[in-house]
Amino acid sequence: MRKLLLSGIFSLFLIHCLFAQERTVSGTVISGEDKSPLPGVNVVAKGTNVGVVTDVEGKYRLSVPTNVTTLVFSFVGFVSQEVEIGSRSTIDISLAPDTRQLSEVIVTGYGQQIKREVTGNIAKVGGSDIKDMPLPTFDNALQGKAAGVVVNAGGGKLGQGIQIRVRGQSSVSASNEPLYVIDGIPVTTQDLGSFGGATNPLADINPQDIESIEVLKDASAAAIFGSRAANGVVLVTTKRGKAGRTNINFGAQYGFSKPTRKVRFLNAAEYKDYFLKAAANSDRIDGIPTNDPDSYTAYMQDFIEFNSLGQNTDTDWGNLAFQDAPLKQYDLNFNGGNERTSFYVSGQYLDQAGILIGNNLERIAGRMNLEHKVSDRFKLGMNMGLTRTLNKRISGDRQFDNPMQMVAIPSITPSIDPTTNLPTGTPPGDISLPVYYNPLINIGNAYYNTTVHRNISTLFGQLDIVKGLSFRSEFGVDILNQQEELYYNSKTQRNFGAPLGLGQNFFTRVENYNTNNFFTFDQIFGEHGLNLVGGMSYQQSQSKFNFIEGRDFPSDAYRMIASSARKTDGSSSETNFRFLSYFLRANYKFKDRYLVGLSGRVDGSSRFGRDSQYGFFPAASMGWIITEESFLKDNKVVSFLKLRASYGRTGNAEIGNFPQLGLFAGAPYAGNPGQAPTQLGNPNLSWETTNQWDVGLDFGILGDRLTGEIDYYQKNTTGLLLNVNVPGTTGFATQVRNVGAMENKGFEFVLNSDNLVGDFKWKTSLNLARNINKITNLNGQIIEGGLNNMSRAVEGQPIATFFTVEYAGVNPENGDALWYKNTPLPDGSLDRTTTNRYNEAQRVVIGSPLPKWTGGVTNTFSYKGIELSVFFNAQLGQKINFYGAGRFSSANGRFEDNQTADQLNSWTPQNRNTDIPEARLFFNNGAQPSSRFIYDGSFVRLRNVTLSYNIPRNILSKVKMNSARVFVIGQNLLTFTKYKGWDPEVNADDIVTNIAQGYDFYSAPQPRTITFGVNIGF
Amino acid sequence: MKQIIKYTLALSFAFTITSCAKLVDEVNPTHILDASNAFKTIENYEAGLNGAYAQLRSVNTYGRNQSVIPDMMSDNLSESPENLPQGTRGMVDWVYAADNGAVEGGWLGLYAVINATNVVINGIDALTTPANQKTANRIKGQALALRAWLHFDLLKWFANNYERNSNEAGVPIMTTVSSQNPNLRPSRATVKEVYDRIFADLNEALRLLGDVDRAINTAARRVNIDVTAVNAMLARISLYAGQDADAIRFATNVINALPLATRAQFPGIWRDDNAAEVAWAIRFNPGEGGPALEVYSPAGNDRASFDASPDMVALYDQTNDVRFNSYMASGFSTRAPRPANRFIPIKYLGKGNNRDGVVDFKVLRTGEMFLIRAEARQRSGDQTGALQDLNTLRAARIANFMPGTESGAALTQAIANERRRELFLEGHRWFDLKRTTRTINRQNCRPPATQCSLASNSNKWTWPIPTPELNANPNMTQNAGY
Repeated sequence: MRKLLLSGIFSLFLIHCLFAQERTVSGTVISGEDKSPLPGVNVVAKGTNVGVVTDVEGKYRLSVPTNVTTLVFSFVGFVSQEVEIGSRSTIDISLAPDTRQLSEVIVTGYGQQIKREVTGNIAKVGGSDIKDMPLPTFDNALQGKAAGVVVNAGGGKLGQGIQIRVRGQSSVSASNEPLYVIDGIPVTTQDLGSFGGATNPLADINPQDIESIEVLKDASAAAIFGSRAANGVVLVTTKRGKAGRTNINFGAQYGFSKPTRKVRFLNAAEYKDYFLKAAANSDRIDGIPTNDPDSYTAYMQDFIEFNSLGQNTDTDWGNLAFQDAPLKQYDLNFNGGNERTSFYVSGQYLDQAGILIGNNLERIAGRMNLEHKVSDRFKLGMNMGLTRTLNKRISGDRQFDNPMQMVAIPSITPSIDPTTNLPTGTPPGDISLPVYYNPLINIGNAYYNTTVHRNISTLFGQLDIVKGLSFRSEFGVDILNQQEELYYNSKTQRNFGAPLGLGQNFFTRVENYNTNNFFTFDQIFGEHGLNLVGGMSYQQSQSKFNFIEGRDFPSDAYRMIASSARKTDGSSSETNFRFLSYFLRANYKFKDRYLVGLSGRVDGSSRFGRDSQYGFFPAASMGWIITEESFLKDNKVVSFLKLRASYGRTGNAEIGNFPQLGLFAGAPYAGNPGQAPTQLGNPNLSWETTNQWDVGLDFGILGDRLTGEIDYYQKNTTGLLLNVNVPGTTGFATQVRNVGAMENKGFEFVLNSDNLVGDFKWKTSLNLARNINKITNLNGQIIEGGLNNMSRAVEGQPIATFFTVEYAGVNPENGDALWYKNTPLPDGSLDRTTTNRYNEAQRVVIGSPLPKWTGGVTNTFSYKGIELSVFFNAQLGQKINFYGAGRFSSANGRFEDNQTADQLNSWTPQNRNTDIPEARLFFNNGAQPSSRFIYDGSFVRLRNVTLSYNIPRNILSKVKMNSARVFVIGQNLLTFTKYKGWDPEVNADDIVTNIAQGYDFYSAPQPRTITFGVNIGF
Repeated sequence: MKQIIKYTLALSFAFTITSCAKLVDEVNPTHILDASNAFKTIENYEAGLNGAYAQLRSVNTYGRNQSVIPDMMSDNLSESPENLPQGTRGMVDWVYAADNGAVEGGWLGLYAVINATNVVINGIDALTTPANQKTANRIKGQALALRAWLHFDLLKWFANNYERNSNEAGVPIMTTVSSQNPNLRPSRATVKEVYDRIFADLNEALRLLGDVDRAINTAARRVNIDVTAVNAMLARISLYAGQDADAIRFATNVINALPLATRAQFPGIWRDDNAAEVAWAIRFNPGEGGPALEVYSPAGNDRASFDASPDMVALYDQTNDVRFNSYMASGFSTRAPRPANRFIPIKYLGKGNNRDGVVDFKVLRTGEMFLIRAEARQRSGDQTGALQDLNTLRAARIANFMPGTESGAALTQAIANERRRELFLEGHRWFDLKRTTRTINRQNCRPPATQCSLASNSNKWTWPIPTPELNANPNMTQNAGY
């Protein structure tokens, strides 16, 4: 009945078009893939403007002028067909799905373009690449999917901040994350965590709602976003309803996660043996008899006795950090509509446990995208997404209650205190046990819950003023309310110093408003095609924070600060920024083969100094589709060839909100208000400027069965916003200035191939990228960072280069750790002799934590309804600093921390041929900061395997279903690496900055997740 | 139709090119202030002065570096196994290099307060009128004294030689507002030049603070620098500089103004129950940290990173000396008792009965003035006066004290020992050793300490100029041996 009604409305609409009737052709269009009717297909009488679209049952009826002999059927995602009408009045056709990529529609800033005509470099990741992935944030799914887009998840905690780099890192002090624009609105993505690791506001986006992600990589694509585009722009488009029947889709997924890798530490017997030997070695050095009550040996014997709690246990502490981590996810969406109104309504419930004890993420997300044509010339719509995310977070990697640090507790200590049957160290048991705080005590006694309510919504109206000219106005809000509740009861007192409990409550609200108002003019004049976009954009964002802390609760049953005896801290603060921008872009096309694009944007921002508040960001690009030329037009091998080049300027304005001002902040003294300088101002401060050129070749071979892109680019960033070291005599360590320059150059290679077509299909898509980063000018200064200043930014080297003393192994004679002196010799070379005195050795460049090569390869096999996709991803050539477990747990027993199993191979008079120095309790024999723990972090990962089966339609129709798919997904199934730590995909959350990268500090490994799911459509 | 098109075009243009250029100008921070909005009245400079005092609570200044690190680095304390490996071990073991965090922080932290004082000193005159002259004197006088005192703190760490007229390298003298002179690349003034500036500033402070609108301190609350405090500063600095006559003169001024505490009052000084004989203390309120948390943090984790060293403990008459029980306690803990042979420094346990380590740091007090005067008198040949001062102090602290009769080297040693007893954990010992014997021999030295003695020719007596400073300022020179 409903369909009848819809077709009725449809027919009424069609009557409108019935004029100049000469003859009528009608028919049905179906999909060649599943033989279902295709609504919304354009049917045009070739050479005229006469056309219709098919109705919900794929039917059309068109009056064709007598001089027309051909109908053109076209629909997004299908190969267009031209059909001779002849004398027929009924033409039924089947459209084949378009597997070629060149006719894809690519979303650009403030518009869209056919891929064939794009002159910039834009990587598209389709919704199907993200769909059903057991990843809480969609940015993680970009890993290995787009050439030159490098993802580092940092660690295995759920929903935490991750690093995305588009064509390398272009800033030393400012953000290097791309700008994220969702349905036209730049959204809030910065870390809002008050404690522990960074949060990831993209966790509030339901990945299932994403239709496509476009990454704007080169300047001509990104410059329309001006001063915020230097790190690339990620455009996210959410799903829309399509005219036609109402589809109901339901999905359910269950799975579980485990750590990808573990590291073996000493068991109890090995621990005792190793540490008693270490103590004896120290006694020997200090000349103390081992039976002296003041000897190291006596100390260690007492230590073992005390820390064993009288038990003869062997605890695998490292394993206790992990939990069985189930995942469940339910999705439901409805979409459909008619010619005037379309809708997409979705809901999701996700409950995912992390691999670390206590870590959990729960998301409830809803979305409604509506579009309505008020008249032929005016349409309006809104997209609204509402999300609630509850993340049960884990302390930062460097905190004693990070569960991963448990591995350093001696294996001789039982995890449960036999006298209390509670985790060892829980009161009333002895809280000075184990040797470090026992993170197991946190379970049930502490929480760090972060709840986010998020509303990202856009309202838009579009008016077609005259043919080809339209005006679109968009107004968007992104409101983020975040509450972080920390609570640590009396049992956790050893770690948090609150014998009667500690509660903290942080509230953050970020209100982000944006409006875009722009004209679009799109017209073909014979052989000339012109597309113009021009308008303005204004954004303002306000963030407010407040916080309260209370201590001393009447009992552990009280958890809210209302019941605390003392309100020990509280604060509120605010920050904000604004951007006002005007933009213009022209794309010109001649004879379908010569393409020119020009764009410019003027950006003003409250972040810049008064003397440089506005900047201009132009870009130009050209393309030549060579296969349109007569000499290549009908080439049998080369079906498509396009040469393109672009040059443009973008900026980076992610520098904090008031870096240009000399600031004072409250500094009370003795109960009286006070104010003190906190920042050295700079009225000349402006954005960083990145000039980028790109040359590329897009090709299609053998009827586009093989398509690909090759790009070479160079990004030169100048005016780097640097926290320049100023003399400390000013009372400040640094001042923000525009000095310095950095370059990124590299190439990208993308290949998509239909290896086998037919019933058994095999597709391969491959991307590969190489980026070379180099700091070209820092005004001669060196900016150090990272633990023990082991990382630095220095001219002539890539950013974040590891710079430290070079380890030279072990003196086979006495077990001393050795270092290369590396002091400069008169002839300019370095002294390669070794020393056992750490302070005699000079620091040298050890390597870079930035990967040299990155890429991914996906092979998809399908036969009838069965599909198998296998996705490998690689990052090669980066160095990882295995700092935490290295300097404390592979450290010759310099502290009582349990040691990695490789320490069993330490030097002894019998084992002289080793690079692990002699064990010496409380002596530092080789664990000083050095290259010793900086390892190659290259890895190849079987990132994803998906096996799915689409149940055939003829079976489904019997049970009134439209589609049904069952699938199994495995994430991070295999890892190939020589890295000694848990996981080479690491950036310790408490440490990572632009300069301090590639540190592993008891960081959690990535989860290996396996899920089973179904999608059912009605 | 054409009309409609024109109309919509005009409207949409208007919508697009609205004049909102001002919008980006109007954004100002609210919980922090742009410097141009910070100082508009003389009261704002009082807040600026408070801001300078507030920074003295930082771990880089009197929240650790000036308050307890000199004791950690000496023989007053023994590192306990409870100390965190990452903490101050580098200082204790004298293995600091130019990239040491506490050294970098110390340099930067002291100069940050100097800059805060310069903001006041250089700005306040413009707002000073005959009507508020005395208010301005009160504010500017304190700022000048503080600036001088912090230059002296810098000199103590970074200069090798404390002689009044030494031409060895001292530290840069900063007297300008950094935000107005961001490109200064000062070189190190000589020790003599730094003293010249210090004494000039302190004398000017004495003049200004002698003519103020209202009393700076009260008997019970002595947290700001007044004339007595400036005299105490002059006494100590003169002693370091070898200006014995001045040291005697200024110490006498303080002693006359501020008599020694009684034995009944003495324990209450350390709980902030009274301010007897305190010339200047840095106030720590709850939530503002404490002066000695890295020695002993009684709240929360109850971490006793350092014990009083066995020879320190042995130095006291444990029964009669009121200082002993005020400064340390056998086996003390706020949770489970510790072994009785460990003497936990409880000098900074908290205000009143609190056990949180939040308590004022007493920078200058009369007890020290007696020791300064005794030492200066002894050095200048007045043994009688020296012994008299020493006995006065001992009688005030020790019940049933029989006056001592030391003379010569024994008297010198007795004064040094008394300094150690009296000023335990007040930031003196390292500098006292540095300016006298220049030798450290730790008794009963055991792990985790790895270094037990420091020879007089070690370069470690002087801190290195921090690496970032050398990188940022081409005019800076490094100390010998780094």
